[in-house]
Amino acid sequence: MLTRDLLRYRVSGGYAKPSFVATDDPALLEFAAQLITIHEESTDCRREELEENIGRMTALWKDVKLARGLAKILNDRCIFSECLEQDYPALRHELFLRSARLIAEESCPADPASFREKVMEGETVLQNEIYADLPENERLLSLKKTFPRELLERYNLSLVQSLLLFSEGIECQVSAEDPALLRRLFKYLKFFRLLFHAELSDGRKKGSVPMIHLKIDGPASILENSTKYGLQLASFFPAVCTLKSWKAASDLKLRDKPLRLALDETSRLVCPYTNFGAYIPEELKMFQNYFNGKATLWRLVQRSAYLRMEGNRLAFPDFRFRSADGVEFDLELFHQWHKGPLTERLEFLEKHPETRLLLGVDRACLKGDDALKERFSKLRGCFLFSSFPGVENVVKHLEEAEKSLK
Amino acid sequence: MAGIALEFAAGTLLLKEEGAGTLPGVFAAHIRRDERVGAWRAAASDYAPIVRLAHENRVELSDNVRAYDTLDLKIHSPHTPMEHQRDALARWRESHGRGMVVMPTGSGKTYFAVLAMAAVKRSALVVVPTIDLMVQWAGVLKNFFRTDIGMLGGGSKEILPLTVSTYDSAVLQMEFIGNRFGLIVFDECHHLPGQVNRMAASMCIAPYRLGLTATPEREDGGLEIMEKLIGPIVFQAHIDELEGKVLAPYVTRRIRVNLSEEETAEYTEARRVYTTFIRRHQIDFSAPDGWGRFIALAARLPGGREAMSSYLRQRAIARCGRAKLETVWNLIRSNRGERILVFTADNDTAYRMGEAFCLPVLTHKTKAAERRNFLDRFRSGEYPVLLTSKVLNEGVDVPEASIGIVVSGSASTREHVQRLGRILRARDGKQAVLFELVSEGTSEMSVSDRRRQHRAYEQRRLRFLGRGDSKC
Repeated sequence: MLTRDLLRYRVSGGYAKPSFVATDDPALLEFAAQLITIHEESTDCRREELEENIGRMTALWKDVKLARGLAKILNDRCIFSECLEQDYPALRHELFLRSARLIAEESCPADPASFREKVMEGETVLQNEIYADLPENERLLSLKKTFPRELLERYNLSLVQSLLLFSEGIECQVSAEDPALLRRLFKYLKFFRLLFHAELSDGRKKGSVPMIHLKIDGPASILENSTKYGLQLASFFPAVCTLKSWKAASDLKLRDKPLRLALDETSRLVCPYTNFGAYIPEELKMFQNYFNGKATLWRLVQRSAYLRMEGNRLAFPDFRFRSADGVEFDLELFHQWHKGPLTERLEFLEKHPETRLLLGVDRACLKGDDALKERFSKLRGCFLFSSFPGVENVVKHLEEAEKSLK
Repeated sequence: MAGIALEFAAGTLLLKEEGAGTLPGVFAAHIRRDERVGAWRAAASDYAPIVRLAHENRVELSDNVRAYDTLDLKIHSPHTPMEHQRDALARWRESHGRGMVVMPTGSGKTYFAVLAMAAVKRSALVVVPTIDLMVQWAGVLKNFFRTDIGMLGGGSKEILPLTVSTYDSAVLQMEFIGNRFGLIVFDECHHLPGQVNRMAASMCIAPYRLGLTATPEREDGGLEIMEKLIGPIVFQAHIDELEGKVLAPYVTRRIRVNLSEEETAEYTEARRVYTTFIRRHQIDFSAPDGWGRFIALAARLPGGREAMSSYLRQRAIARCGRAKLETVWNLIRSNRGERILVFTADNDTAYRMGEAFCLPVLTHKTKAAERRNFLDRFRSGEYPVLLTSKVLNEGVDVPEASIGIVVSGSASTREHVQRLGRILRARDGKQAVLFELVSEGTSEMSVSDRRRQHRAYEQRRLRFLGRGDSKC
C-alpha cells in the first residue's frame, strides 16, 4: 500500500476522489515499463543505490508523487537479501572495544581523525564503513514478475486501499447474482474478522438481479468511530472488486477531517491478486479432501450463497452436504471471534427448528459461557470442535439430523 | 427476577436481557443497541461500571466476561518503598485502583507498578511502547515475582497471568485477550491517546488501571482521553522535588557552538532559498497543515525541489556542523571514566558520528541481538559511550549513565525532559550533567528555548543564572 505522503486524491463536496491513472495511457505505460526494467536489471544492487537511481528517475516525471507511488509499489514487490557475507556485529564489537580502550587512555588523540586512524589500524572490513549491514545496504535479489499495466492497476487499487486505512467502515451494495463470488466475499469478511449487517435491498424491479446491502465494520465501531479496523477493511476491499456489480462507500478520517469515499464498478478497479478470489484457507481444503475421501454416503455440493433469516437478514453457511437420499443440510462454522453472530443464529434456530442448518462451534467460542453452552446443547445439529471440525464428527451429526427428519 | 447476561465479544461487551425492563434503563450511559448481532454492546473498558451498576440496582447479572485470575503474588527480595512510592500507592488505591501516577524517570516507576500488582493480586498486563522496554519489564517482573512472564510483541506471543506487551501488539490482540486481565498498566501512558493505541485500553475489561508517565503534558486534548480510559492523575512528583534524594543531583549546560565561515555561508544561502520559497507561497509552519503544504508545494511547484533540498541542507548544518562534532569529541575526552549518552535528532547524524568516532550507534535499525549487546556492554562499562537518535529517549533503564550530550533534537519539551531523565537515576556520588549543543546564529537557538520550557529547566535557569550557557 501507499504511505500517507504518496496518497493522491482531491476533495470535492466532502468526498475524497482518488486520482486514478488511466491504465491504457501510453506514456504512463512506458514509464511503468522503464521502472520495472530498472528494478529487473538491478539484481545484486544495494537498496540505497537502487532507491537513489529510482529517485532520480521519479524526480523527472511530471507528477513526482505518482511516480514515487509507482516506485513504492514496485519496491514492495522486491525481495532483498541481508548482508550475510561478514559477521558485522562481531567485527564491530572488537572495534568498539578498541575505541573504548583508547578513549580511556590519557594519550587519546585530541583530533577525531587521528583517533579513528588509530582504532582502525589493521582493520580491513570496517575500514570504509562500520555500519555496512544497515537495511540500505541490503541487496536486491529479485522483483516479483510485474507487467506495466498490472503496475498501474495495482496503483489504482492501492490508492483506494491506502485511503481505507483511515476508514471507519464500508457500506457496500453487491449483486447477489453469482453465488460463488458472494461466498468468497463472505469468507473474506470472516477471514478479516469483520462484522457486517446484510440485507436484501428492497424495492427491486421484477426480474432484476437482487442486490445485497452490506454494512461492514469492526465489533467496536458502533461504540466509537475508529480507524482501528482500517487495515482489515483495506485488506478485504479487493474481494469487492472481484464482483461484477458493486457500489461501496466509506467514511474516512484523514488528518482529523471527515471525508467520504464512494466507488462502484465503473471505477474499473482490478483485483490484481489472481488467486485472491479463489483462495481457500488450508484447513478448508484439507477438510474438503478428507470429506470426499472418507464420507461414503454424503457429498459436498455447491450451494446458494446465503440463507434468508428473519426479515431481510442473511446467513452465509460454509458448506452444503447432500445425502444419498438427496437430503441437503448446510453447515455454518463459528470460530472464537464469532460469538455475537452465533447467539443470533441460536435464537433463529430455537424459533425455526425445521431449518436444515447445522452449527459447528469452536470450543474457545463458548469458553466460560455456561448459559450459551446449555442453549447450544439443547439444539439439534449443533456440535463443538477445536480449531476445525473433523470429518467423522460432521458425518455423525449429518446422519443424526437426517434421522430426526424421518 | 429480570437480569442481564454479559459476555466478552471481540474486545467489546455484549449485554442481553434475561427478562424485561432492565435494559437500557440503568445502563443507558454505557450501552448501544447493535442490530448486527441483535444485542446491546458496550466498551470492554466499561465492564467495572456496568457490574457496579448491576449490583447497585440489584439487577441479576450472569457474568460470562471475566476470565482473569486472582493470583498469590508475593514480592521476593522486596525493597522498602520510598516515601513517594508509598504515597502514590495510597492515592491510587483510594482512587479504586484507577488512575495515573506521574513520576520522573529514575524515581522507581517500575517498582511502584510491582507494588500495585502485588496489592491487587490480579492477572496483569503491562503495555509498553518498545520491544526493549518489554524485555526489560519482563526481566524485572520475573525477578520480583519469581514466576514466568508472558510477552507479546517482537515475535513473542505467550500469554500468561503476568504478561508484558507492546502497544502495537496489545491493539492487535486485545479482541482475543481483553478479558484475561484484572489489572492493566500503561507504561509511558502518554502514548495511549493516539486514535488506534487507545483501543488497547477500551478493548480491555481490567477494572484496575494504572498509567505511568514522567510527561503527561499533551497539547491535543490527549490528557482527557487518558483520564477517561485510565483514570485521573492521582499522584505527581517533579524532578526537582526528588533531586538529591531519589534522583541524582544534576546540572544542565547549554553550549553554543559557532559554525565555520564556510558552513555559515552555506547555511545562510540554503536558508535564503527555502525561506524565500515559503514566503512566496505563504506557508505558515505554525498552522496544523503547514508542513504538509510545504511538502506538497515543494513537489509540485517550480523551485520546490531546490527549496526542499535547501531546507534539508541548512537543517543538517545546524544539527551537526564541524564545530559540534569537535565539541562532542572534546566532551567525550574530558569526561573519560563516565558513562556518556549522546542524543541526536536523526539517524544520519548518529551514524555520521559513529563512523567518525568509531562508537556504537543504537537506532531503530539496530537488530535486536546487537541492541541488547550494546545496552549490556554500556551498562557494564565495556562501552563507555553510546550514540542514539530517539530510541533511548524513554523507558530503557541505563542507570550508569551520568553524562548526556544533546547534539540535536526537536522543540519537544517531552523529548528533552525524557533525555534528561535518562541520566538521573541515583548512584553514590553521582552528579549528572546534561550538555545541550546549539549552533549559534541558527534556528536551533529558538528550538532550544522552546524545549527548555519545563520546570526541570526553569529551576536550573535560576540556580545557574549566567552560568547555564557556555560558548565554544
